[in-house]
Amino acid sequence: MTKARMIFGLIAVALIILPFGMPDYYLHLMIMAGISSILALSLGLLVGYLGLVSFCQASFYGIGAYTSALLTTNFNISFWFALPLAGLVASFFGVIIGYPSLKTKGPYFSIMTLGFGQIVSLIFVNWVALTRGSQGMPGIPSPGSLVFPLLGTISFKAKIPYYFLVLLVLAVTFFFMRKFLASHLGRSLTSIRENEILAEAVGIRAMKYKLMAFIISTFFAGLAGSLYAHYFRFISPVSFTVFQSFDTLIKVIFGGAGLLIGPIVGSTLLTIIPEALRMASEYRDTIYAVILLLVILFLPAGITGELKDRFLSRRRSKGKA
Amino acid sequence: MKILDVQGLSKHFHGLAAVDRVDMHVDQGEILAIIGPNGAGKTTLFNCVTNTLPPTRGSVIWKGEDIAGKGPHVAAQKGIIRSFQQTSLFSGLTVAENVLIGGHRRFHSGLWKTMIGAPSAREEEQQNRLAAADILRTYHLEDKRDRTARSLPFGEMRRLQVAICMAGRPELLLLDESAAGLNPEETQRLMDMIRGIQAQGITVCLVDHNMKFVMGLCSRVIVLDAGRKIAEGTPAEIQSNQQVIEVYLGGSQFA
Amino acid sequence: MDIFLQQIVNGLTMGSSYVLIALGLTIIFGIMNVINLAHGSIYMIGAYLTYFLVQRAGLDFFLSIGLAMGASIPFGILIEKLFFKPLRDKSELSVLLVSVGILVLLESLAQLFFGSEARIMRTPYSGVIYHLGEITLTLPRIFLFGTSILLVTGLYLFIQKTRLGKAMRATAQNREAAVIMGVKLDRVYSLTFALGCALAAAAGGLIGAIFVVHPNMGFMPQLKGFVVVILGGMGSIWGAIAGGLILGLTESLGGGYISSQYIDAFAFIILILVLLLKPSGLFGHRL
Repeated sequence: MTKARMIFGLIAVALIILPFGMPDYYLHLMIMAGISSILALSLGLLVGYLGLVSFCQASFYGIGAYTSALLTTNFNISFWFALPLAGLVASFFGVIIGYPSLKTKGPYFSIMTLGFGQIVSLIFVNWVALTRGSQGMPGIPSPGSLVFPLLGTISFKAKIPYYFLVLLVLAVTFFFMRKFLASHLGRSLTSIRENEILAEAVGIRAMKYKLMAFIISTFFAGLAGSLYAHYFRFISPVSFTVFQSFDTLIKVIFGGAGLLIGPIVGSTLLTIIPEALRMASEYRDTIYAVILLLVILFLPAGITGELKDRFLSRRRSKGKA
Repeated sequence: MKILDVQGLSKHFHGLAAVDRVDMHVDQGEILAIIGPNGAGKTTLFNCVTNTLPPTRGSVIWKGEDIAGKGPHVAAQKGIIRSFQQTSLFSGLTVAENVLIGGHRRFHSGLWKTMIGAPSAREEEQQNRLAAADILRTYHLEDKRDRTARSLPFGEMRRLQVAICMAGRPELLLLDESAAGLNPEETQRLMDMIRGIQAQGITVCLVDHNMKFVMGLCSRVIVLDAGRKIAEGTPAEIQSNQQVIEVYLGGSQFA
Repeated sequence: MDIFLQQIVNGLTMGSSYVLIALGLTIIFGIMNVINLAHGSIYMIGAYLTYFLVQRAGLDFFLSIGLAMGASIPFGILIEKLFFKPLRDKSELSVLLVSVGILVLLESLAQLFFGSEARIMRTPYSGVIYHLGEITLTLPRIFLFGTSILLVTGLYLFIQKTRLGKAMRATAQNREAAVIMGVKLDRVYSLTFALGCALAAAAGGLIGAIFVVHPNMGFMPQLKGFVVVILGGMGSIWGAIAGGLILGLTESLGGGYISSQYIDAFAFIILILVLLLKPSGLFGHRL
């Protein structure tokens, strides 16, 4: 286990040193990768551990974004309160949308979320009084400055502090989910995926745990939305459509839905590689689609899943020798 | 003393009665058998008692409370745990995880307590892991604890199924065709296991076809045919019951 | 009163387009057990093909639609063999995901090659308007309704009367038994998918003549197609017909009397209600 801890420590150190001295553009990419990782993780919980494909994750992303934006612009609430509130409001809608949806199974669930996603998109576009509709909402403030003991006043208008903010939220998301999955609650969740009837027969109320997972998932999607809103300081309905949900889904599947780091790997690679290869953005969707198709046909466990399988089988063959 | 009292239970599928106004009860501490030809409705009866399928009519009174129609997890939470005819396991999970999950009804910590690592939650996890290890030992599955459930040989899968049920410390254990597919040696071991379970104070109700198995274990037998209860009594009484013999076509199973 | 009749007429014509889309979806689901989210892209391609044949090659409208349907058949067979066949016994969700991939792929390619601007199909029938009392009917809408009836009848007869149709029905009812009886699964699946694509392409061409042609045009109609399939019952042809007309009428009347902004929401509200109250739909699972 110490080998894994060492690698983990190195990555942590690298992530902390990385932003200093990095050109602004790459820092921007890292921040985007971080935000989309949080969103992907939130979806990964549903896809990987419940086996449910939700097509409306972007709706909760959007609800978090609009909530945070409205609280800070219309009600002058500090970002530092708006952030968790965005998560809570998103998970509130998570219950409303989740409860009926979770009563259905498999593909019917997916179609239901598709329907809900469309309704939410329609509301974002048409409820102009609340969201300003297609024009979008400008003028979202950056998070307020904070005073730290050794560092003095830090302004979050700059990229480096924002990077650390995103990194912190990502870390919280990751470790929360890891702890959740290792607990008896997480085990109950996995058992539902493996054999729902048997799970109920030993006393696990499937609906309760599915809803719990959905609430957790939508909470973090809402957090990601808030971080997005206060970074770009402008949001519009076009960022929260079902295609954004497809995008996130592709990142989860590409990275590997079965492991917690899968969505993070998928998001980071799919944010950075297209830019690194200097791809024009018009080809991006086509490439994402091709990647999704290739992964489903040839690498169903995603990148991290395949690596894990290779690693385990090599270990096994070494043991035999 | 009755711990389970089933009154007027019926289950209809598209107008066909799979279980037809069955009255039966289970006494505390006994080993009761439900027998009957194929399609008699034995498994359906189990399904209705545990609410894996909600009954169409009737009541299922467990320790004074009617639990009919309340959802499959309710029966389990209150102490009735069942096994399934087709070996039902959490196939992709390890043996150890299977047993841990089986003990679910002993976990009471909620989301908040679990996530903040409250001492009571940690204590509970610890206790239940120890209990699970105990169960693995009792059922001779300890050396297989890290293998996935689906990789086990058939006989051990069956044993794991019982282990999962027992992990929850049930008060009433319902075993559906637990002896199916076992050779004589394994069957004998299963019989000893069930006697051991009874010795712990757990009430057992089993459905089975193997007459030697049933007659050797049970103090009382109920016979179902075409969804109706046609006989009830001690093994000796059942073996000499004319209607039962007819239903089984010559009674060769009683040899 | 006149507005009411007009809404009914509009509802029926729009409804017939939903019927066409839903038919393709429902036979693909009923026979292959595949939920094809890429259906809308085939619809879109059918529209573009018709558009180019009419505008650039100057062909007759109906001929163009026929050709578009014809072209979609080998295209559909190719997609089925490349993407759906390898996943045939895998989870339903893998199949769902692969159809998402195909959807995004086709739409993004269409955007790359054709550009995202909306194109208007001009046929000699475009501007023709009839007045029946208070009701206004444009010829393209009449064609949509009429052609739909033709295609639906054609499909129905094919499935009921021909040997291949019988094979399709058998596969839908019991796959294993059908195989044992000698049905060639590969052939049935390819044929089913191809038929579904042809119907989608036809719908695309017919609607393209009424509204506009653009890369994302298929997404919303397809979603509504799914609503119709679920409303009518997965795998049921009568369900697709009834459901399509019901949806068309609901949208038309709802859009006219309740809200035109949220007109798309009616479909999804119906979807959610059906999934919660009677998931098997109006006619259940049947072919």
